[in-house]
Amino acid sequence: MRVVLFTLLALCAGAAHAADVGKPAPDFAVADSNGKSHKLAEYKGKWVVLEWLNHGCPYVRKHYDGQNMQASQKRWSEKGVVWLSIISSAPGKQGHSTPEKANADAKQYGSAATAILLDTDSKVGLAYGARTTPEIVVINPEGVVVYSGAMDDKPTTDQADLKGATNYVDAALTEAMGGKPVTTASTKPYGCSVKYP
Amino acid sequence: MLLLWAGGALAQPSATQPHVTVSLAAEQTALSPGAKARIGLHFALEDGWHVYWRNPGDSGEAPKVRWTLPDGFAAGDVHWPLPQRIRTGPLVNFGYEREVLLPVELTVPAGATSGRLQADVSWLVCQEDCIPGKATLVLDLPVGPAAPDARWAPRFAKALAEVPAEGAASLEDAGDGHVALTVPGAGVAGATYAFFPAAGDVIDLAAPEAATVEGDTLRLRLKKGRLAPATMTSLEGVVVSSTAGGRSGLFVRAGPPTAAPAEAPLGLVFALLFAFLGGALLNLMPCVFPVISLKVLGFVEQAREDRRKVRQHGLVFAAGVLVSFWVLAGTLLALRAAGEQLGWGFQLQSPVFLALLAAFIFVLALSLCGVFEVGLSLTALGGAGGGGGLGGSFTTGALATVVATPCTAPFMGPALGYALTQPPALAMLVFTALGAGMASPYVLLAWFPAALRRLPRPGPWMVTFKQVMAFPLFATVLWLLAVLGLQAGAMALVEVLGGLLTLAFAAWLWGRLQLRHLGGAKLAAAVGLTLLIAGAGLALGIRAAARPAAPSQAAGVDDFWSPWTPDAVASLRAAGKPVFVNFTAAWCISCQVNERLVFSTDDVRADFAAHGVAALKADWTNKNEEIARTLASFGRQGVPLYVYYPGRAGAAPRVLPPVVTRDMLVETFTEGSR
Repeated sequence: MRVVLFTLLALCAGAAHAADVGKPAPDFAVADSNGKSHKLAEYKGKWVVLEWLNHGCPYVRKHYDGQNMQASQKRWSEKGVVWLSIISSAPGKQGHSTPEKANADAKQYGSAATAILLDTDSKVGLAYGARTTPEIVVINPEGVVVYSGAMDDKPTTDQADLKGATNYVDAALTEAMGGKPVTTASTKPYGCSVKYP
Repeated sequence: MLLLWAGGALAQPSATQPHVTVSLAAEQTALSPGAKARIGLHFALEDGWHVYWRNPGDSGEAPKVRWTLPDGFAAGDVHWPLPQRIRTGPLVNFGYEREVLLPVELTVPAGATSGRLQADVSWLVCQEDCIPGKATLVLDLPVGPAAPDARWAPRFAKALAEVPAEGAASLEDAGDGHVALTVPGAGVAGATYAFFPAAGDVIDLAAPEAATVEGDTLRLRLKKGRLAPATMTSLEGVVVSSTAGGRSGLFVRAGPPTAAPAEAPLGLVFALLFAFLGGALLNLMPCVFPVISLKVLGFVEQAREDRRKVRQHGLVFAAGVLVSFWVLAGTLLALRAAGEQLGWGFQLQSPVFLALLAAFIFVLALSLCGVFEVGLSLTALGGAGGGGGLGGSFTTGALATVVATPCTAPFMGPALGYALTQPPALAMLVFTALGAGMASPYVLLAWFPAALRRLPRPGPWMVTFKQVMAFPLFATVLWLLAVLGLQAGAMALVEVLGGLLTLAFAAWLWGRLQLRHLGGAKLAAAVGLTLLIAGAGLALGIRAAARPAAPSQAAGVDDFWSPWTPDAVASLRAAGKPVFVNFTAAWCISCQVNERLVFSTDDVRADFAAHGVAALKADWTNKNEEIARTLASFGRQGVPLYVYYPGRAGAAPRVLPPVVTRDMLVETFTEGSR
C-alpha cells in the first residue's frame, strides 16, 4: 500500500515538471539582470509570458533583428502582461550571461520585456522542460499554462520568413485574454538547444 | 555570418563555410537521357559539429534544398540515411557527424542535351552553438557516356546502404501514455533497437524505449510526446536495429493493427492458450498441490451431495482464484504504469512479503500435520465440506493463488513477461487465462462428479494423505526462507525462524485447546494467550524482515563474480576485455540450476580464465531499477539473462539462452574472440 501511495505521489510531483498546457505552471524564484527577484506565484492575477532567450542563437536573432520579439513584448506589456525573458544557459556554456551583458543586450536590441531573468543554475529551464531558444510559455492569471511551444510556425533562421508567419503567441494571448479557448495551445518549439550544464 | 553569394556569381558545386563544406554531388560523371540519375548533397563537417536529420529532435533544423533544373528535369525527395542520436544535456537530437551524403533521385528527360543543376541549400550546423548557412551550388553535368565518379560513387553506395527500406508495422495506444509499435520481421538475435520518429514531439525522445522480440517480431514500447493525440492511431519513423554487423533501419508508417491482420491476434491466442495450460500445470507445483489436493478431498466428501451445490462451490472456488490473480496482476500493472521498474516475481523481492508468506505456509503445514485443526471440520480448509459456506470455497481459491505465487514466479516468468509488454487490457486477459487454467480442474470435477468415482473412496487414508502433504509445504517454507536469508542476512533469518518457532508454539497450544472442552472465561483467556503468542511470533518475524537489508549485491558476489554496474561493463569493454554478465536472483530456480551445474564448476571457471572473460553478476534478488531497465533493453522482464559482450569495440552483445551449457559458453567465448 505504502509503495502505491508513494508512487502516486511521485507521479503527481513528476507531472508538474513539464510545461503542459492545462497544468499549473511550476513556481520559481529567480533574480533578474538588475538583481531583483521574481517569484512566479507573486504574479498570480496577471498574464505571464516566459520567453527562453539566447542572443547568440540565430533563431533568436531572427526574431530580434526582425523586431518581431520586441513588437510582441511591447504590444502585450502595454496590456499589463508580465513578459519574462529567461536565460538558462549554464555557466561556461554558450549564451551564459552576466547581469551587465544581459542589460547591454537588452538595450542594444531594444527589448521591451518586463525583466531578463538569469536562470544561472538552469532550474527554471529544467522545471519547464524548455528545450530551445526561443521557446514560449503563456500562463494565465490562475497560474495555469495556456500555451507552450514556438514563437511562430516558420522554423527557420531567415528573417524573410517573419512576414506571413503565424505568430502563435499573439494568437494565444488574443484568444485567452478574450476569454476564448486557445486554438493552437501546444506546438513544437524550434531553435537552438538550451545550453544545460 | 550572412553569406551573400546566393546570386550564383560563383557557379561552384561546393561551398566551404564555418565548420562545414557542402557539395552538390553526382554518382556518375555524366547523365543519360531518359534515365534516372543519382545526385545528392554532401556535408563534410568539422569534428564535433553536426547537421540534422529530417526530424532534428528536441532542437535544430534539417537541411533544406530548392532545385533549379533545366526543362523536363525533376528532383525527388531526399532519401535520409540513418541518423545518429546526439545527446546534449537532457536533450536528444537526430543528425550526422563527420560527413553525410543525402541522395536525391533525378529524372533526366529523353531529350536532354546538357545538365546544369542548381541547388539552393540551407542548413544549420551545431556543436554547442549553432550556425545557419546557405549556399547556391551549381553542378554542370554533360550528357553522354557515363562512368562512376571516383570521388562520389563510393559515398553514394554507403549512403544508399544506410537509407532504410520500407516495412510494415502496426501501432496500438496502450492507454497509459505509451504506444506499442509492432514490427514483424524486425527482430534480430542479439540486437539493440532504437526508434527515430519522423515528426517532432509525438514521441518523448528522452524516455527509454523498451524492446521485446518474439520470434522475429519486434515490439517497441514508446512514451508519447507532448504533441501526441489522446489516442494515437498512426506513427511514422525509422526502426533501427544494431548488431555486431552494423545498423539497419526500416521506415515504417504504422497504423492500427487491422492493417496487419492475423499477426497480432495469433500471438495473443497462443499466449492465452499457453497461459491456460500453464495455469492448469500450476496445480502440480509443490506449493500448490497440498492445498488443492485438500480441495479435491472436499469434493470426495461432497460427491454424494446435492449436485447443484457442488457446482456452485466449484464456480465460487474458480472466482476466488480469478479475483486473486486480478488483484495481483492489477497491482503489478498499476505500479508499472506509475513508472516502477518491476517484473513478475516482484512480490518475492520484498522480505516482508516473503516472511508473511513463509509464516502463512508454515502454519498451513502445521495444520495439515494435525498440530491443530482449522475451524471445526477436518476438511474445512478444503472448503465446502458439510457446513462450509460458499465463502470457504472462495477463500480456498484465493489461498491456492497466494501459495502459488512462489511457484508462478520462477516457472511462469517468461510467459508472464510477454503479458507485461502488452497493453493493460491484454495483459489482464493473459492473467485471466492463467487463473482460469488453474481453476479448470475443479470446475470440471464439480461439473462431472462421475470423474470423482475414479478417486479412491473416502476413508482414513485421507488423514495420512493430508499429513504427508504437509512436507511439500515445509519444503516451500525452506525455500522462501533461503531467499529471505540472502535478502535480509543471516541474523534476520534467525529472527524470522524464531518467529516461526513462536508461531509453532501458538499452533500447538491452539491444538491442545481444541481437544479440551473449555468454557467461559477460561476459554477466553486461553484464546487470548494463544493469539498473543501468535501475534508476537508474527511481529518478531516481520520486524526482522523489514529491517533495511545488508547490501545484498554482495550475497551473489564471490571471488569469481564481480558486481555488475553499467560503468563496469563499459570500462572493461573500453579496455578491450570481453565481459559476461549473469543476471540472476536467489528466487529464480533456473538461475540457481545454472549456477550449480554450470557456473560453479571448475571447468567453466577455467574457460572464463582461458578466454580472459570478465565475469560480472547482476543480482536481482532485491528490487533494482537499473537491472530492470537493463533487462528491458534486452527485451526481458525477468531473469535469468546471460549476456556476452565481445571485447572488440562496437561489437554487439550476444544473448545466451536461459538454460546454458559449458559447450555454449565455450563456443560463444571462442567466436567472440575471433
